[in-house]
This record gives sequence, structure tokens and C-alpha cells, in this order.
Amino acid sequence: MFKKRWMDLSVGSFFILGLSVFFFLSSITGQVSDEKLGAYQLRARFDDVSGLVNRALVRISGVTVGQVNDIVIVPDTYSAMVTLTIFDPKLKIPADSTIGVYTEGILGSKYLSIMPGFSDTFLRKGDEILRTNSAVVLENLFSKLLLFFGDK
Amino acid sequence: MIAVDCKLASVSYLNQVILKDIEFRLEAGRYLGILGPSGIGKSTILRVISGFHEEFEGTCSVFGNLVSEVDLTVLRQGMSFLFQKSPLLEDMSIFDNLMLSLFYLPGTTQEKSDNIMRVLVKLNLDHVAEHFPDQLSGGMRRRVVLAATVLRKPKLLLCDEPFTGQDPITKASLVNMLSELGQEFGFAMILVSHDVKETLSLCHESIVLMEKTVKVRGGSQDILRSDLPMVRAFLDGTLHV
Amino acid sequence: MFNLLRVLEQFLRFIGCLLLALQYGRLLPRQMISQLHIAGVSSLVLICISALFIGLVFAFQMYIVLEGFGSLPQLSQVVAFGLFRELSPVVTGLLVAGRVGSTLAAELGQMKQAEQIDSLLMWGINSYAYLMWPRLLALLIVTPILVLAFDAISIYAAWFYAVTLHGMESQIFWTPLVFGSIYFEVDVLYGMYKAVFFGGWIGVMSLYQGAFVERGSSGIAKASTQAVVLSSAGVLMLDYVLSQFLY
Repeated sequence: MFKKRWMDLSVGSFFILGLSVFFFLSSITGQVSDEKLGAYQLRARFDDVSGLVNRALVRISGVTVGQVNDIVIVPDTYSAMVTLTIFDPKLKIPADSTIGVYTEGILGSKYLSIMPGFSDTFLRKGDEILRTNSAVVLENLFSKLLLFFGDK
Repeated sequence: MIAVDCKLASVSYLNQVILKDIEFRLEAGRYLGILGPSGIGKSTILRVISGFHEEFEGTCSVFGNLVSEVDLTVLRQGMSFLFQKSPLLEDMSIFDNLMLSLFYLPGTTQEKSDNIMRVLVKLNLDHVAEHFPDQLSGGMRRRVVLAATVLRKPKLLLCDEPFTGQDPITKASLVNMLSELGQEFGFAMILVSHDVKETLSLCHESIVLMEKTVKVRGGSQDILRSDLPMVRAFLDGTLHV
Repeated sequence: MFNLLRVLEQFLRFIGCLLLALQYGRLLPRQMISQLHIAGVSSLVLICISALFIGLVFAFQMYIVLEGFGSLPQLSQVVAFGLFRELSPVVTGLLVAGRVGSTLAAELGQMKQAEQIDSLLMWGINSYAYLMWPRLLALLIVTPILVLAFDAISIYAAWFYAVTLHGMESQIFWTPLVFGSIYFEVDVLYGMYKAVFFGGWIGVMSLYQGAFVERGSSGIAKASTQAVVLSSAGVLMLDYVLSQFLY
């Protein structure tokens, strides 16, 4: 009798445990369906996005608020069009904000950072962030330096 | 009515003939003992009758149905087989095991469960109904298996070495139980064993197998009076030369 | 060669019987519970211990690499990526193969040798429906749950290594998991899908080995060894094939 009841209990708690772990894992990981939960997308045009990849992070003041969804080339200007998702629908971004490509550490991965502006109008779904800073490419920096010293 | 009519010209195991010219016939309600030394193929005869062993020549019919032709499920419905080892499933209680054994027989769950409790009480096992098989002693387990066997209300009971590994008292009580249950349920029985005393006291008729075939047959007196040297040696437990 | 064909034929017949037995299937709750217990509850401790140490060692190695690139905040993502997709289902599969597969083969083999399967037949009971299916079903249900447990424990082990031992901020550890490239539907759920296949494979292989056991106690030993060998090798092969299909 005891054996039977103990077995029932352990199998039952096994399933309860499994279910709670299921929900735990779904809460600590990202969801493909996040977009349906009110996250909205913005666009930004850069001259150079070297090193930026899909799903790179988007930050404001160092706090992650979204991610990069898509990077494509704009045919007539040859600039890069980046689509990014802001996760929190309540997070409003001023229209005159600046967005730039930055590097984590010296050789780390690239991320986007938004410096909020002061405008009273806010960007809405699908809007473009107009002020952009392109990626700093170390090779370009070096060649500029070499030119600079070469002139002397 | 004839329960079993066996006319086996030969029985083979892995392409080797192990038994020749086995003939016997069993009336309903009577007991037949099959005696013989270990390893001679006594159990194989039971496996032929229950349709597990197909390597044989000749005919074998159970209640008028030829074993080689009739649907095995139908054949086995009126039959119970008491194997040497316990068939009880370790992950179910005794009661659940017995319910499982009745699964394919007609009747409501309530009837079956009443029946089980009645037989368990009769075999003095009602206090272990909710136990698991591994909590029982060997003797008790054998009694449970016996309960499962008679619960099916068989018309024919096949017993494979029911006395092996039992102490003399358990043996005696098994003999008693088998004959009492037989009187109550009225089944025919074929008993395979090498325990001469118990078999002869229980069975109406016996056959002794030696050197691949039947050497002696008859009631217990006929068997005991046999003067064939090798049969004598088997019965008395002496070495024959 | 001839022998191989015969084994193949035997195996196909086994699968056929297994599928045919579905029509007799009526689940007995008691039996199901005890099989779930054998397959799931009793493997849980083993799975948890393995997950703990695999998570720790993975975090340890990745910490060294990522520290060099200044990408430490990506630690949880890297660990989750490596573990959730591949390592966790595969290691769970291997452990279940060793822990449950050998038990099943030995148990079935023992039952076969003890004529238990024949006596069930005498009772008119199909051994495929009443012995094989509950065990197979239990494995199918239990393996994905064990993978979940593995995922959770291993990510916590990595958290323990980074946050408790190396003073990383907890927020930095958890945030990239939510906003990074780890998706629940892809990384966690696909791992569970794989586990279902692994469980099925292990079950079929072990039960087959048990049902066609050779005589004697060496037969049982051989069956359980074969069961573990076939199911572990199969888990690794299946993993590659499934990964190709899923990702």
C-alpha cells in the first residue's frame, strides 16, 4: 500500500516539476512570438554596419531594449537598411534620437545604441531613425592615421 | 467427452527428434500424470497441446479441435497453464494481476472482482490482495498463480512441474488443493513432474517417459508394479546399469 | 549476410507486431504509473547530476573564451545555445539508454525466459500490448521532460559559475537569454521533439533485444549490452539527422 502511494506521489510530482520547468524555461528565454505581444519595429539607415549581425542587441543607456531583425542593402544609395525591434511597446523613442553602431570592448560583438533626443513627437511602428552614426572600422581609423602622419 | 486426444508420431526440438510415438487420451474431469527424468521433453508435450510448439508430426486435439488448425486464442480460452515460474507482473498488485488474467473472459468487473476475492479466501490469500509479487514468499506466489489458473474456470489444466522446489508440507498441501479444486471446478488435468509419489497419488492415470517414448502406462498400482529395470530405477531413485 | 537478413526480418516482424498490438491496447493506469516511475523518476537524479556538471564545465570553458573577446555578457546565450539544442537532448538520450534501456532489455529477457510472456498468451493477453507499449509510451513521455530538467539545471549551473563564483551581475546573465538569439520555440522545444524520437528509439531497440533474448543468463547479459550499444549509437545518429531537419 505504502509502495503504491509513494509511487503515485513521485510520478505526480515528476509531472508537476516538468510543467513548472517548462514555464520557467519559457520565461527566461526569448519567444519568436514576442513581436505579437506588442513589440514594434523601427528602421535606420547606415553608411557602414560592419560586424553587425541579425539579432544583435539594441540598447539605450546600456540597457537592452530590443534586437536587430534584418539588414539589407538599399540599392540606389548603397547604404545599409537595418530593421530593429523594440520589445516594450510602452517605451517611446523621441523622433530626433540618434542611433549608432558600437562595439562591446575593443574586439567584442557589435550592438546598436540609441541616444534619445528631446523632441515631443515619438517614433511609431515602421518609422525611420534619421540620425545615425556608422560603425567605427579599425582599419579605416588606421589608414586615416597613416595618412595624417604621412603628410607630416 | 474426450478432453485431449494425442497421437504424436514424433516431436522435434531444433530439428532433433526428442520424442517418438506418444499416444494418450484423457477424459474430461480426469487427471493424467506424465513422469520421466528431467530434460526428456515432458514440458514440450504440454507446449504442443497449448499450441506453443509446432515442430511435431501426428495429431493432437483438445475437446475435438485440432491444435494445428484451430485459432489459438479460442483454443487457449478453455485452458490454463501452470508454468514452472511465476507469470505475475512485478509492477502490479496481486489483485490487478488476477484481474489481468481474466481480462479477455466475459463478465463484469464486479463479478470478476467478487470471484477473485472468493478464490483468494479459499486459498487463504485474501490478506495479500494488495501486495506486490516481490513481497510474497515463493510458496505464496505459487498459490497465487494457482488462484489465477483456476479463476479462469478452465476445462483443461496443464501443470508444468508444480512441485519443484517446494518443501514436503507445501507439496502435500498443493496435492490437496489441486484435487479439491478439481472436484469443485471439474477440470481435466495433465500434470508433468518427476515427483513420483505426489503425481501417482493425485492422478487417475500416469505414463512414464523413458528413452524418447512411453514405457509404462496405467493407474498408480500398474506403474509401481512395473518390472522394467530402467523404470524401476527411476521410481526407486537408484542408478540403473 | 544471411544472418543479417534474418535479423532484419525478425526486427521488421517485431515492429509489425508492435503496431498490430495497438488495436488491443487498453492502458492500465497502475502499470503506466509504475513504468513512468521506472523510466522517469528513477533517472531524474542521474540526469540532474549530469546536467549540473556539464553546465558548470561548459560555463567554465566558455568563460575563458568569451573573457578574451570581452563578450562575457553573451555567456548565457552561448551556454544555452550549445546545451539546449544539442548537448542536452543527446546526453539525456545517452543516459536514458544506459539507465532505462538496459533495464528494459534485461527485464523483458527475464520475462521471456521465465515463460511469463507465454503465460500472458495463455491468458489471451498480447504481450506487445501489455508489456511493450506501456514501457515504450513511458519512455516517449518521460524523455522530453528529462530534457527540460537537464536544460533548467544546466543553465542554473552556468549561472552559479558566472554569478556566484565570478561575480557577474545576475541581470547581465539573464537578460541576453530573453532578448538575445535564444528562442523558446526553437531552442527548447526542438530539443524536446528530438527527445521524443530518442525515447522511442531507445524503447524499440531495448524491447526488441529483450523480446528475442537468447537462452541462459549470458543471453540476458548480451541483450542488455546490445540494447545499450544500439540505442546509444542510434541516439547520436538520429541527432544528426533530426538536426538537419529541424534547424
